[in-house]
Amino acid sequence: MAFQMILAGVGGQGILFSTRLLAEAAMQDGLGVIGSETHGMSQRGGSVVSHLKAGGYSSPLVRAGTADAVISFQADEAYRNLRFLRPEDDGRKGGALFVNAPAGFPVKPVADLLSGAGIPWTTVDASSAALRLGSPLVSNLVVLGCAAGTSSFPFNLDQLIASIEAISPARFRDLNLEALREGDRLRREAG
Amino acid sequence: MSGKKAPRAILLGNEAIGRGLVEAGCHVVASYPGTPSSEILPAVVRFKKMEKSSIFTHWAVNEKVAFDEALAAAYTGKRAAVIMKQVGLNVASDSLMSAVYTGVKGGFVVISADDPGPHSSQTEQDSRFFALFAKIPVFDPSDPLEAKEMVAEAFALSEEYEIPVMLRPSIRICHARMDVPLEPVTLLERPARFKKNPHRWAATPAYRFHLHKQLNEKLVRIRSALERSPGLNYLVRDDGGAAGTERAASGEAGTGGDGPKKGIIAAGVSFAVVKDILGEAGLGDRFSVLKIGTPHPLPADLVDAFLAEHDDVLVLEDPDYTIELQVKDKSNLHGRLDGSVPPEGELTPEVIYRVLSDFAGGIEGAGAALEWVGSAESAAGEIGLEVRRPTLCPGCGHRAAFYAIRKALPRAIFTSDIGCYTLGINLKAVDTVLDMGAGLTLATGLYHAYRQDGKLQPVVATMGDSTFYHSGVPALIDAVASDARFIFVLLDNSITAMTGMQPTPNLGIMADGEPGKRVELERLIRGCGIEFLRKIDPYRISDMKELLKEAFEYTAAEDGGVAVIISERPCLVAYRDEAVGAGGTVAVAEDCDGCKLCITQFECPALVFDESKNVVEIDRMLCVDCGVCIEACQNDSIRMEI
Repeated sequence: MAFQMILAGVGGQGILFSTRLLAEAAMQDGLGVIGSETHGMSQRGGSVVSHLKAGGYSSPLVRAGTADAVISFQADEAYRNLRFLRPEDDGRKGGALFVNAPAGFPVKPVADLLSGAGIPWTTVDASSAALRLGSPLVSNLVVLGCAAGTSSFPFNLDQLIASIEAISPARFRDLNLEALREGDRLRREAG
Repeated sequence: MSGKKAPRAILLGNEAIGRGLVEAGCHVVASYPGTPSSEILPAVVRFKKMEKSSIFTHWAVNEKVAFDEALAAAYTGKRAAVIMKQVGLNVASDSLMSAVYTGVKGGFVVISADDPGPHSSQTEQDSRFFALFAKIPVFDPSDPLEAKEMVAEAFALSEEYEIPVMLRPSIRICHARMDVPLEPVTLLERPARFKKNPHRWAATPAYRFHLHKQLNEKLVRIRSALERSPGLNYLVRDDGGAAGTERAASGEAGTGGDGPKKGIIAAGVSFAVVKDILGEAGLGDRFSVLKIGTPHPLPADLVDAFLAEHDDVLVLEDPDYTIELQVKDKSNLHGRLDGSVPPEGELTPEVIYRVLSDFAGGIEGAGAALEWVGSAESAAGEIGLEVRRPTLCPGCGHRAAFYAIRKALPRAIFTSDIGCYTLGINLKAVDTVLDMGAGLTLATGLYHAYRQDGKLQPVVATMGDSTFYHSGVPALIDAVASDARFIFVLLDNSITAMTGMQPTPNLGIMADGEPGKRVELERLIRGCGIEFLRKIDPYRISDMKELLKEAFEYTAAEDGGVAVIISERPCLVAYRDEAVGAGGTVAVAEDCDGCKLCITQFECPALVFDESKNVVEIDRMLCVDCGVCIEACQNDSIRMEI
C-alpha cells in the first residue's frame, strides 16, 4: 500500500500530533514513512500544513493534484488546500476530503467542482463534538475518528487506537480515545 | 549501515541529525538556535540522556562563539560539531575561513541549515557557496535518513584529511519526518590533548601561505576520493520494478550507448522530489539521474562523463547554483543560470514538475490533473479567504510594548531585529529589520545621519533579550561611545521564543538543564556605559507611555545619552502559568460601536469582529485575560469583569 495526504488547519489544532499518529500507524503497518511539517514564524497563528507519505516515497512533500486525502481541521484551510487532492482518473476514484466544519460546507461552486472531479468529501462538526467531550483541543481526533473506517482512508479505527496507545501522553490518552470513538460514532450516525 | 535489528523511530530530520551526532561518538556540540536548525541540539540532549553519554551540549551566545568553542575541542582530538542556520554561518564565517587553513585533529562538522523559500529567514542564501568560498567539503543530504548517515561520513572525512566538513540540510530535510533506524552509539575515548604547534594553530602570514597550499592539496585528494564514492555520488538506474530506481555500480557514470538522451543532475531534496515524480509519471526510463551528495568538491569527472553521454542535462539544486557554477562546459547544461529553472524561490514539487515537463517536452496525461489544480485554486480564490498572517500570541508582552511605543512617539523611526517581535511590523512599530543586532546599529547610524544635518530624529530601537546577548552588546557599546541618542526598548521575555524556548545567559541554565552561570542583563547594560536604565511591565501601558516620553527627554538633553527601557514580561508560551492571571475576565460591553480600532491597531487574535452584529467579541479560546486591550479601546467598551 502507498498513500500520500495533507493535514491542514491553524496553529494549535494538533496538526503535528495528528500527523505523528498517522505516521505511527503507517509504520506499524510496515510502511516507510516520510512527511513534512511547519515550524518557526509561520506557527504563530498562521496556516499550518503537514504532509505525510507512506509506502516507497522519497520526498517529504505532496505535489498538488496527487493527494489521496486532505484532512482539514478548519473549513477555510480545507478550501485553501483543495488543490492537493488527486482528481478521478481512468476510473480510479479521486482523493478524499475530510473536514471539520459545521453544516453548509462546502459552498455550492466547490461542491460542484469536487463532484466533477470525482472527489468524495466527508464533513463532521468536530469542534462542537470536542466541546461536548469537555476539551476543544481534541477536535482533531474527532475528525480522524470520522475518517477512519471510510473506504478512502488508509487506516481503520483499531489501527488509530493502537497508535494513540503507542504515542499519546498518558494524561490525555483516555480523552483522545474517547474523541476518536466519538468521530467514528458521528460518521455512523450520519450514515 | 542500517542493521536489521535496529529499532526504528519516526524522527524529524533535525532529530535524525542529532541522533547521528550521538551515534558518531561526538564529544562536543555547540549551537545558536535559528529556524530551521533549532531542534538539532535538543535532540542531541535527548539522545545523550537516553544513551547515557556525556556529550558537552551548549547553547552559545552566538554562532561565531559556538563555532570557536567546538573547534577548540576538535583541536584537542575530540569530535565536535557546531549547528546554526544559514545566516548564522555569516556570523561564524570569520572563524570558518581561518579554521579551514588550520584544520583540525578530531572530526569537526559544521551544520548549516538552509531555508529556500525563504520560510523563516531574511535571505535565501546557499551555504554550499560558503563551502566553495571557504574551500571545505560539503554534504548535501536528500532525506533525514541520509542526513543521519552523512554525519558519520562527514566525521570520517574530517578526520582522514584533518579538515572541517560541512553538512548542509535544507528546511525540507530539517522539518521532514521519516522512519529511521536507531543504530548503536559509538563511544570514542578521546582525552583532550592539545599539541602545541604555533606554525599551525597560531600561524603568521608566511605560514598561512603553506597552510593554504596544504589545503589545496587536500582538496585535490578529497575530490579524487569523492569521484569513487558510490554511496554519495552515483547514477540512478531504472530497473523497471516497483521502486523504480536503484543505485548503479560504483563510480559508473555512463549509461551505455542505448541509455536515455536526457539526463538530470540532482542534489538535496530536489533529488528526492525528482525520484518521486519520475516514479509516479512512469518516466524513469526516459531520463538518467546523477545524484550528487557532495556539491563541493564536485566529482567533476563523474559530472563531465554524464554530460558527455547525454544530449541535454538539467541540474536541480536548492537554493542556488553551486553545482551548475562549477561545471566547466555548460553547452548542454540547463539550470538556474540559463533560465530553465526559476532563479529564486524554493524548488517545490510543483516547480520541479513544471521544469521537468518543459525539459521533457511535455508529460503525457498531466493535463487533467493540472487543470483540476488550476480550478481548485481559483475556486478557493473566489471564496475570498482571509490570509492568516503570522501574529504575536494573545497576551504577548511585545504587543503591549509596541502599542505603547507607537502611541507615545508616533514620529519616531522604529528599528527592530530578528525574533518574534519582527511581527511588530503588523502593529506599524517596526520600520527596519536587517539582521541580528541591527536594531541597535541602524538606530545609531540613523541618529548620526540626521544629526549631521542638525536634526534630532527620534528613533526607538527594539530587540529581544537573546538577540541582545547575541550581537546587541557591541552595538550598544558603540552607540554609547559615539554619543548616539535614541531609546532602546529591550523586549525581555526571559527566553529565546521564536526558535522554541532556548535559555538565554540571563537564566544561567545549560542546554541539558544543568546549571551554568548567570550573566545578569541589567549589569551587562550598565557595563556598556548606560546611565538611563528603567524596567517596566509593558502591560502597564499608560505608565510605559509616560516612561517613553521621559526617556525621549533624556535622549534630547545636552548631557543625555542612549536611554534603555527593559520591557519585562515572560513569554506566555514558555511561562504560561506565571505570566498572566491578574484576575478577572475580559469582556466587550454592549456599547461597542464596532470601530474596529482595537483589531486594526492592536491586532490581538482573541479580538474578533462579528460582521452580523457589528461588534467586537472576545474569542474565549484564545483570550488570556491580560486586559491590555482595555487600553486600546477608544470608547472604554472593553472591560475587566471581576
